[in-house]
Amino acid sequence: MNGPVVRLISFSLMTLGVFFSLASAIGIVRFPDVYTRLHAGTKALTGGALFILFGAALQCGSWQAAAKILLIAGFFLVTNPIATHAIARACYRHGILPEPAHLDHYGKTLKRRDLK
Amino acid sequence: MNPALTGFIFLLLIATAVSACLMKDILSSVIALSVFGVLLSIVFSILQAPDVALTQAVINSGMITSIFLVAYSQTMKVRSGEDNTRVIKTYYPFRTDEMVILFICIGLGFFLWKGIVPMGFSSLSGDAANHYINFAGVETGASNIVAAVLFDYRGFDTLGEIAVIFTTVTGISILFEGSRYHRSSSGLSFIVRRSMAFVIPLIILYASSIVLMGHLSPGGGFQGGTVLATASICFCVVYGSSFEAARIHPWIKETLESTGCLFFAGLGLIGLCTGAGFLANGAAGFPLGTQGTFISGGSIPLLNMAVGMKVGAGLSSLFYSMVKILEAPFEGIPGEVE
Amino acid sequence: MILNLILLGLLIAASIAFWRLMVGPTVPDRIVAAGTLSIILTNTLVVLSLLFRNSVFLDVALVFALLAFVDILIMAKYFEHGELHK
Repeated sequence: MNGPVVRLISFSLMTLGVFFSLASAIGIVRFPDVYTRLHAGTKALTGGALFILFGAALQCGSWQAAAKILLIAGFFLVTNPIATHAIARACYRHGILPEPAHLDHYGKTLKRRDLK
Repeated sequence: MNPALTGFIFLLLIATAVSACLMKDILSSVIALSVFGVLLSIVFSILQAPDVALTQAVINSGMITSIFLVAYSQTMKVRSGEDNTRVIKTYYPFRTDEMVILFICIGLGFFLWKGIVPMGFSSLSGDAANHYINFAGVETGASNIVAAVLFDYRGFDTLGEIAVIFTTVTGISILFEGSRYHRSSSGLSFIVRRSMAFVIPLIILYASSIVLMGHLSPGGGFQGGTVLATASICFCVVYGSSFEAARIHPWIKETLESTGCLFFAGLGLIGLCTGAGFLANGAAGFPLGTQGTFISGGSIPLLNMAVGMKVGAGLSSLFYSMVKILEAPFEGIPGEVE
Repeated sequence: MILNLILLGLLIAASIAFWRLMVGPTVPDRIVAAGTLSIILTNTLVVLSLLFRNSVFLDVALVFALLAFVDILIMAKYFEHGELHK
C-alpha cells in the first residue's frame, strides 16, 4: 500500500480536502447571515474531512489504523447533520429569521399549532 | 515536527484562551473554552503524550461544557441596567481587589519559573523514571507504562483521587438535595432523538473498550468512566431528565459508585491478606500473564473496571442531581409532578 | 514535506474560522465557528498521527469525533432556552 501511485493519489485527495476546508472557513467569514454561515460550515465536513480521511486511510501503516480512520469518517457523517439541525432549530426558535425570507412554512406551522 | 507549525498552534492556543477570558457573555466563554480544549489536546499530542491528550479530550468535550452551563444556570442573576452591565460600579481605572489578584498571579508565576529552570530542559532523567521505563513490562505485565505507574507503583495515590471524586459528588448531592423543578425537561426535536439512537450505543461500546483495554492502549478507568458519564448526560439533554431517570434509576448509580470504591479497596486488601503490601500486584499472587495480550497485568484490569464504574456513576449522578425533578412515590416511569 | 504543507493549510483554515469565533456579533455565529473548528482540528490530529507514524493518536481523534458534537447539542439547547432544563 505504499507504492508511489498510491502515495500520489492520497496526497492529491488530501490537498483537495485542505482546499475545501479553506473554502469553508472563508465562507464562514464572508457570508452575511447565520443560516448561510451554517451552510458554509458543513462543507468543512463533506468536502474537507472526508477527502482528508480517505487520503490518510490509503497511506497509513496497517489495516487496523485504516479501519479506525474510516470509523472516524463514518461517525462524522452520522453526527454532523444532527448538530447542524439542532443549531438551525435553536436559532429559529430563539427568534432569528433568515434575512430575505419569502416563504416561512415552519412559522405558519408553529402558529397553527399554537392556536389549536 | 516543524518548529514554525508548533509556534502557530501555540499562538492560536493563547488567542483562544485570551478571548475566552474577555468575552462578555458566559455562553461565548464556554464555547471558546471548548475550542481551547481541542487545541490543548493537539499540543499534548505534539509533545508525544497520548494518554494525557486522551484525558484532556474526554474531560473537555464531555464534562466542561455541560457542567459549567448547568452550574451557571442554577445561580441567581442580578441585573443592573437594561443591558446587563456590571453590578459593581468603579470610579477609578484599577480596583484594589483586581490589583491584589494580579500581584498574586505574578508572584506564583515567578516561583513556578524559579522551580522549573534548575530542572533543565532536557528529557526525563532520574532513577525512578529509568526504572519504570525499563522494568514496567516485566514487573507488572502491562504494556501501558502510565497505567502501570497509576495502579501498581503509585496505587495509593489513585485511591486518594477516587476519594476526592467521591467527596465532590457527595457534597454536590447534599447541596442540591431539594429540587426546584416540577416538570421533566423536554429534550430536543424528533430528528435528533431518532438519530441519537444510532450513536449512543456506539459511544457506550467505545467507552467500555477504553476501560477494559487500559493496560494495553492509552486510556483506563478515568477516561472511560468519563465517556460513560457523557453518554448519560447526552440522554438527559436529548431525551429529557425523566427518561434518563427511568432508564438508569438514581439508586443504581449510587450502588455502582459505592461498589466501585469497595471493589478497589477490596483488591488492595487481598494484597494485605497474602502477606505483601496494600495494593500489591505481582507479589500478592495476581497472574501477570504475557505482556501485550488481553489477559495480562495482574490486578490492573480489575482496578480499571472498579475506577470506571465509580467515576462514570459518580459524574453522571453529579449532573443529574442538578437537573432532577421532585421525587414523588411512583411505580414505573416518573411522570410530571404538578 | 507535503504533510507539513497540508498541516499548514489546515491551520490557516482554523485561524480564519477562529476569527469568526472572536468577532461574531451573535452567539450562534460562535457556535457555528466552534463546530467547524472542531472538525478542522480533528483532521489536524489525524494528519499528525500520519506524520508521527504512530496510531495511538487516532484514539484521541475518535474520541473527539464522538464527543465534540455532544458539546454542540448542549450549547444549542442552552442558547435556545437559557437553561439546560427546559
